[in-house]
Amino acid sequence: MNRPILEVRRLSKAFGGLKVNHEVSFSIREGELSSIIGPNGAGKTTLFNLITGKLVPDAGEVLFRGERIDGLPPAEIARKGIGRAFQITSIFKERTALENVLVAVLSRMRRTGRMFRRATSYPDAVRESMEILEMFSLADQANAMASALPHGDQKRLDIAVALSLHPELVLLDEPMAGMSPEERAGTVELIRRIWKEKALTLLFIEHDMDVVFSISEWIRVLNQGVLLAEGTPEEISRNREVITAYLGEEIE
Amino acid sequence: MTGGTEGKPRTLGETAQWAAGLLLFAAIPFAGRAYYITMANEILVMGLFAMSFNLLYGVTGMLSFGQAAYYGVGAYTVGLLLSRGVVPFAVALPAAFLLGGILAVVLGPLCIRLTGVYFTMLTLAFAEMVWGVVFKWYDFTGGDNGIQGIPVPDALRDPVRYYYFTLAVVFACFWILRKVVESPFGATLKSIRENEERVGFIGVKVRRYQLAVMVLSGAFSGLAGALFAGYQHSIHPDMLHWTKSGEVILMSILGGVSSFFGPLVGAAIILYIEDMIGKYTEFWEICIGTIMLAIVIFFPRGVIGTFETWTERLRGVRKGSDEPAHS
Repeated sequence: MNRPILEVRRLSKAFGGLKVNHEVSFSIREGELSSIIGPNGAGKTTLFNLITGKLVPDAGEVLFRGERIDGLPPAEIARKGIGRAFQITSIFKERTALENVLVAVLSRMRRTGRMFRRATSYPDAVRESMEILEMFSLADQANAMASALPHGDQKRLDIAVALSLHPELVLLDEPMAGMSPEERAGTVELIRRIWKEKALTLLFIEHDMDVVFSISEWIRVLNQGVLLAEGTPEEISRNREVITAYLGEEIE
Repeated sequence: MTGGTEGKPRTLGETAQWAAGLLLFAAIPFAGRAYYITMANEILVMGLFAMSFNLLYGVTGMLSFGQAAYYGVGAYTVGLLLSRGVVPFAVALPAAFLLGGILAVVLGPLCIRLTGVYFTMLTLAFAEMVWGVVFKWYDFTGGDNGIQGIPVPDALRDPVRYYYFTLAVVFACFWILRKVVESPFGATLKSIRENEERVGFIGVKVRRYQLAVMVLSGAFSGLAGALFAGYQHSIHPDMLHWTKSGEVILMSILGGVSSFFGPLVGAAIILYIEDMIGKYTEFWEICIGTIMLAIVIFFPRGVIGTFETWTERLRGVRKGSDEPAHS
């Protein structure tokens, strides 16, 4: 068994009196493709926000490769190798698809402070950006404004931006939300392919149980801010507690 | 085909724009009236000031309502240094550029603590403080008397020569600003405008870039103020007043904040209207207000911005056939 890439220890966060995350502990093995499921308001996105530095935990620790990262600003956590795509698509709308990816690639190359050459005159950065767009089937739209892309393409661009930083761990927050069934199938394939090719560790939040149970190696269930259970898809689908709390009658 | 935009050369149209602008300004003194030169000089100076402001607003999305502080500090740097004979003009001008930047190093970190309208309010508040100091500190700044009789070197005493000097400096600044806007740094600024939060998640320390662009904008605003002081030979605390900060906002919006030369065009339009209507009525502000209203309603992207949209649309119609079908 691989060593953990991310460890979350008794992580807690409350908004007012509401315990959105309460003493959540788990660890993610390197190279794992796993998911987090749970009803709306279970604290899934908050957990992502705590891991990626958007929020500072009230208590507990987050360790990335054995190093404390809780409380660090998002920019530093991103630099350490944790990438993130967003539930509500978070891209640079009035910039082209290429520019969206290019700025992230330039950031990884630590060139965002350069002032005297055109951003598009860094051939290696542009080439890599085009390769990333290619991987997401967005190369044909490279010069289209991000805001003009269809919703599914915008979602994929969001993931493309996250991958431009060469992260080791990628958190995807409902990567398929709002997509048509065909787009979903394509995106599932895409995620699986990238996970394999790039040897990534992937953690995603998703409501589509078919997707979750078909591609996850490991599933974690969050309910009312508490980690209810974790295990393989088979274990989770047989877990009484999970069935009553969340899955209901859907899974036999 | 990949890498379509790789190393895209400056387009012919863009080179033509620069050449046309430069030629137009260079030809003004040949029109033979001193008044035209004064007018064109003011357009260049305010154009540079408005474009430094737009580096913050149009490019990075930070609406500063306090850029007059930097403009004024630049003017007073030149005014004080030259009227007391401390240093020659060739040193005073870069000093104004530096001091504009240094003021931003001091005020910037205090302003970027907040975002949106709160950032705007802070820029206004600090600019009012700087104005207050200049206005009240009689012994040093001359208070509301300002500074008169600022000497410039003999070589630049002739207004036509000074005009060409301004033209050269301002266009050199435009060239540098253009470089900055198109660089990776500029791309990062535009990304901050579009989505500040996401820029953090791609590993960029947003505050650092916001401060850097405030310093750049402050320095170029200071230089604009210095050029004005050298031309006018007299300066006044009004140069730091909040209405001056408002002027560059109006100019930029009028011309178009999303196009590079928009603020310069806006400056030309407003100064021209001010002058034309000012001859007939002292209520020219009402006319400016009416025109602004019409612009915002009918040309929401500014004069140049709307023009660009039209030409893009025309081009789009022409090549409409090779666009992929909707999926």
